[in-house]
Amino acid sequence: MMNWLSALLLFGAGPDAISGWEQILYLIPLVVCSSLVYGATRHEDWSIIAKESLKLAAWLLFFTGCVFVVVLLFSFFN
Amino acid sequence: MTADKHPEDDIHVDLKNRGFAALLAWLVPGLGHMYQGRMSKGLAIFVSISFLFVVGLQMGGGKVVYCSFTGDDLRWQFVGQAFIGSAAVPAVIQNRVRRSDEKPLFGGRFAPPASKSERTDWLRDYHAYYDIGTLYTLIAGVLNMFAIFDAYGGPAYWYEEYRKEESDGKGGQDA
Repeated sequence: MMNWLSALLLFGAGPDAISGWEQILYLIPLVVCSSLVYGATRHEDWSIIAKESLKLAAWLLFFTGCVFVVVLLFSFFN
Repeated sequence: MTADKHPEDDIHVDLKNRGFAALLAWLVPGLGHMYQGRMSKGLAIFVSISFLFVVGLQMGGGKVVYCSFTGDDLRWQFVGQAFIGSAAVPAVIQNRVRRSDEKPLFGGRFAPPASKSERTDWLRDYHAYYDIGTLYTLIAGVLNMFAIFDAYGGPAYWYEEYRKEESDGKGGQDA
């Protein structure tokens, strides 16, 4: 059984009700937090941390986008 | 040959007792940095990692973080999740309790499934979100590993700068 917070996080619906496209939205907090923490562990000055985090976030989105396209192409031949 | 001055060269960080700071950072993300007086950085790390961990945990109904290394259930993701000590310690305790056939503590939180069918029920109930929750908590743990290194040794760029100076032939103070 899902608790109330789980249900809220799943937009109030059961897990089966979420489409594959909506699942991609869960990438955003992952990219934001990952790039921020990684940038913060490499630098001490906040302006440099912000710059590095933005660079890393862009790189992560590009990389996962490439993987997504490759997997999508494979799915056409499945 | 003189290396260009780095904008962060003038920032001095007192790492205090770095072993203790690393231990605090392992127990609670960002706590080691706060102990060292790096409050804003500690807060950013705490908010980011805790957010990922708590949201991931909730997406999987609180069942995505557990310790189990049996043939039936080899939970390799726990290796990454274990970098968050406040979750790793209860998970290891719960694993021991489960293996001794006693009733799990803390209302069953962080306890491994009692059987294969119970784990199948979890996967059915939470569907893809069990995997997304596992990924969130795993990434949170791995990010905390970076944070622990940062609390112990300072920002990684220091080391790069040191290496650059070494290669420029001006790093050997006692040469």
